[in-house]
Amino acid sequence: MKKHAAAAVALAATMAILLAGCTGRGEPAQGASEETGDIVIRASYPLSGPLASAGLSAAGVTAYFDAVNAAGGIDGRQIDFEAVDDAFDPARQVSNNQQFVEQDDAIIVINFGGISVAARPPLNNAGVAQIVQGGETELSDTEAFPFSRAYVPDIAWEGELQGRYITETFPDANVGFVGFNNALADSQLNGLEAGGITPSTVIKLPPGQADVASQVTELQAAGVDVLVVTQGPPTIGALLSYMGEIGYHPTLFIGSPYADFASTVIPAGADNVTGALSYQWFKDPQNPAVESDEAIVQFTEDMAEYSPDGDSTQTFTLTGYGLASAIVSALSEADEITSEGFLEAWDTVSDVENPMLIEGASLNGGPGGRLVYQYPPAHVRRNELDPRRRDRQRRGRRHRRVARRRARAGHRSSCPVAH
Amino acid sequence: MRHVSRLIPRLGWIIALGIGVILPLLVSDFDLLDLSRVLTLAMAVAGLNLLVGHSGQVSVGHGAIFGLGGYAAMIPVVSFGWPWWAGVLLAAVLSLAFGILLGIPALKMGGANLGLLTIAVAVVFPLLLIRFQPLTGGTFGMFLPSPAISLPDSGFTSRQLEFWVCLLALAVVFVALRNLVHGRLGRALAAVRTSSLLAAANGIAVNRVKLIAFAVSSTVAGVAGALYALVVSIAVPDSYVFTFSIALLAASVIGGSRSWAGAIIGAAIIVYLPTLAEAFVGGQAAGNWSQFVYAAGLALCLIVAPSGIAGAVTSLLGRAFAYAPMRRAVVERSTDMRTTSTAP
Repeated sequence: MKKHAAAAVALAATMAILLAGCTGRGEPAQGASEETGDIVIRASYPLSGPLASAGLSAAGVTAYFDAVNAAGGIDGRQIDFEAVDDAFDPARQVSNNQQFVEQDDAIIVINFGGISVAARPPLNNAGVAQIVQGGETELSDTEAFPFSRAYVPDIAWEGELQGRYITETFPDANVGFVGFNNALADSQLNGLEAGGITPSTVIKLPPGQADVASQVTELQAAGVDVLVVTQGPPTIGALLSYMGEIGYHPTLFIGSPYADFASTVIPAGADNVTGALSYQWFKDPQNPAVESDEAIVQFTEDMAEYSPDGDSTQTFTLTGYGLASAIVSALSEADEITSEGFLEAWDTVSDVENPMLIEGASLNGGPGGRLVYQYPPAHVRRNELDPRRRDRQRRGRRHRRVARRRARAGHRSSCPVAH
Repeated sequence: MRHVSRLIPRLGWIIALGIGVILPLLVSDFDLLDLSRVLTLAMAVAGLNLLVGHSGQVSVGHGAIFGLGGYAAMIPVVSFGWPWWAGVLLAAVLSLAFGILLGIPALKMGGANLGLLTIAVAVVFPLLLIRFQPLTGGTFGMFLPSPAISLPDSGFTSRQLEFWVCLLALAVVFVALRNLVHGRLGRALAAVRTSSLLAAANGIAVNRVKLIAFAVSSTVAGVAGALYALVVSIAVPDSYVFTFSIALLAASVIGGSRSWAGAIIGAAIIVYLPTLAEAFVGGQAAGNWSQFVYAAGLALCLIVAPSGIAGAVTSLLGRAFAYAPMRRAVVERSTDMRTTSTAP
């Protein structure tokens, strides 16, 4: 019986510890903008867990906001920003969001990925702007969720462009698809279908899977000769390097979210991605071609100064930096610094420059509440690294036929533009 | 004196319940959300305690059964407009049926097969949720457009009502499980845990007793999952991945798998330790270091307190207050016995 008494004491101690950290009802929000004058922005990112690579974005957002603050803020008002971890756990994201709304009095909440789709109702009910860093089509439903917006383009658009390109260039292709086991893949497959391509083999894998030998065998056995891949590290590196090892060389189409040096080229090995195709809309900080780019230089300097623990070589970090820039652009144009005022400005942004976008692209408000619509021409990175690979590929019968057709039609070096 | 020592734990629980009842009037809605999560998870961990601590079986699939309860409540509430309590009842029925269906073949096979089968369930469950998209909402899952547990004209917020509902459910579960463990079934479970052969020799239907424990444990996990989903307003496959099942099992062991108070401590660890670890390591640049602190914290608990935190505190307090007089009493009694035995 004494044991039970002690257990009750242990429980009471746990409760006391928990309750000591609680906030009382009716206490004012800690970051209340009315008191400090600051613009409160909060983010819930997967800083740990299987998608921790995406959480690198938080460091980029911090660097940009801190740089803006150091330069005097927005109309003299400082940005009060903080990012917390949700480990890609939907319940933790909901909990974080509630904290942002109730305790921090945030006017903008940044979320990441497909789990944010289910997290929309509480923020919309509270009337707080939610900006999601995600390419899922569902995030474009601004009619049902007027306070939710997505920043990056809908991956279905890219899928449609890929579909159109494959239909035109490789009309007899046996297309395979490797993606995540989530809605990003579904959105892209819908896009491919709209572009006239239904892959014969579709493989969806969870984030973080590194053993893909059986999947490669499946693709090879199915005779796939054009492979569309939108997978993240470590899967994409393992996939492409194993394909290289066994001498399986279909034409590769790499999805823009992971078509960069850090995610794909370095883990897979340059030889195994030579000749791969990709649509691009943002810069890769590790691409030597943009090393001296003014915005990239500024990004690297800001990271070193304001977010030295962050990894400035990763595209996700640059994406966060670009997202923060887009938010500041909209806030600067907003009539009033509220969630509504910010969203109104976000939707009407026009031809605004952004440090992460490739040359020729700009931010424009449009349907679905997204800001990036363009995939400017001449960014098919075909045969960039090793011209010999192109010759090897063209020895194939199908590719010779395609090459003849392209020669007759006149070579088009540019990709179609989505909007 | 004996009467007083019986009264103390009851008084402790009554005070805890009293604090729980007035808590929603004192703390913010944000804290109530996390505290409601603790209560629902504590329910699931208590169900697991019945299985692990009292019947000596292991389930690595309780996260999936928790998820089954969540979807069983969310689908009728979101898609067909059922009231929330009807969703919870459906979750109870389905998870009971699932527990029986899974338990029968697993226990027939004997050995560690229940544990192995539950691993398969935990791994397959999120994939099935994605596969049955028309019913489950696929990868995006189900979400409530507005809180399900609400009384618009009562003056109480949904978070307050949710907390009270979860508190009531937890109290009912604790009382039910306690009575179960202290009754005839509890003695049978204890016998089975100690030695299956011995239990069978004493006329206990070992497999039936194990099945009852697993089915009850599943039902409790299902109800807990239903309330959890209704509280956080979402049910998404990403919530019920394999690691969540492991976390529940870890919570049971760390809290103390033979203590009901330990279930609350274990649940509080699931909800609060990641946040504390993040605060300790230092936020966004920490990345996976916060997970490392989380893992190190868990490992430390297991090394320092192998019988769980509740067990460790019990033993510490026992040493401080009870063992010395007890030892004296034992010495005195043994002296008496020696005196008696040496007497002519």
